[in-house]
Amino acid sequence: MTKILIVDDEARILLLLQSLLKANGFEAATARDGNQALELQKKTLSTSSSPTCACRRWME
Amino acid sequence: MSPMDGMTLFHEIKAIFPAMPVILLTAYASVETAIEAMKSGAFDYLTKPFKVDEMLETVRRAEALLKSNSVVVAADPNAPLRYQFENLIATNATMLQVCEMIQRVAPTAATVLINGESGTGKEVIARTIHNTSPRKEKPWVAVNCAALPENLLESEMFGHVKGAFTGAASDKEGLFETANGGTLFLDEISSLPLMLQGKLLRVLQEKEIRRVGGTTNIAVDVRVIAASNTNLEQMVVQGTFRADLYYRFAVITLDIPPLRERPEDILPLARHFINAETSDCKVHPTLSQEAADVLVSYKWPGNVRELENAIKHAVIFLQDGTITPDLLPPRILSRAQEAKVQRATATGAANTNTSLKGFLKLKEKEYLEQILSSTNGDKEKAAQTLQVSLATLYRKLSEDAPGGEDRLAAQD
Repeated sequence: MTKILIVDDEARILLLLQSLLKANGFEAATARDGNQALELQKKTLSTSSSPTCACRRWME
Repeated sequence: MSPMDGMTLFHEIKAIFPAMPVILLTAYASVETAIEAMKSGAFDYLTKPFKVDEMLETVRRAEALLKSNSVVVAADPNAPLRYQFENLIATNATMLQVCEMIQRVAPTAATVLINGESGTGKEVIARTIHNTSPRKEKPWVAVNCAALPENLLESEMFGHVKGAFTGAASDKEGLFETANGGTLFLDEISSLPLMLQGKLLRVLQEKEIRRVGGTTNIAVDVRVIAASNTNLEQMVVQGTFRADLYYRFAVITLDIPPLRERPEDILPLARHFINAETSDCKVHPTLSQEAADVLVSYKWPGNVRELENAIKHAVIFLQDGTITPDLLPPRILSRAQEAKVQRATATGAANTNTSLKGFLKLKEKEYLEQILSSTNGDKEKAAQTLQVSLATLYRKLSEDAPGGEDRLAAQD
């Protein structure tokens, strides 16, 4: 299953996108900022070989 | 640690996980930044507020790309790049870069802008993008924006409903609907009237069209590839081309060099055309050394299209299995001969029999050509640069016939 990493600084958006993607058959992880995203991505990649997409919000 | 900003994260991710597709969600105001990110390898971007379907569709495309690409990523990065594009011949470095771009953008649904002089093969390149994209089984529709008057173009592109205007006897599907699921190629996008530019922008953003006179919107999924032979950026400055539409197109820009800037491609292209023209013959004709020299020394103002036509001309008059210089169109021959004289004059060869007047004429013509090519054949602009009247320029050009007016005719 394709994993998607969602990065956004707003918890509401993270929750919304996560539930949308899950409902459509994707696995979705979330991160609140860039550092957290990178940490998570490194961990995910070391434990699984499945590809991951990152979908993230532009942080203005 | 201070929170990492969006762009920094994007670059970090691309550095550590180059194969991971990144989709950006952006506010309208930061579209330009998103375009920059696309150029450095972002997969796609969505403008807020976005639709759920649109978001899911983009994620699915990213997924498809990952699956199809998993082998490519593992391949040796130092292996020489090979392009298996039919009909695209390139050995020139700039053209190879264009090929690489094609390979990278083809799997995406990104809008592409192709810049290049007339005859450089913009449509061939757009076609190649379509043929190597996941949309290849779906329709390919090409329309020349300069070929139709404004009101006709609108109903051609978007369709119309019965009774929308006099003569609209029935509903008609527009080209966007015809191209649904596939690719729409808009040639000479610079000729698109401002009113239609606004409509087109709306279609690109909303992914739905409304027929002329219609009241309902029809959802369409069309990849748009546009081509232009004029400087769109300059048109944006002059206010004749909408900046927002330009940015929408400029996500990916392919600049196709004119043939005279890629001389190493002339002979491979010539052989390709010879083989294509004589595909039903058992033995393909060969190109004599003299003919090859003529082809390479000619400046090709009409670019690849002119070369193709020259080869067609030669094949028609072919008698035995060899293409000799006398089979080429006279215009090219005379130019090549002049070039020879010019070279002889330039090197100060003793056996040249050109008079001073003839020499000055040659130099004058050379300069005229240079100016004309720098203005893309715009005679008015050329006359301004040369500080002569338009009439004088025309006279000078017709003086060096045969070829003067021909040359310009070959450019459109």
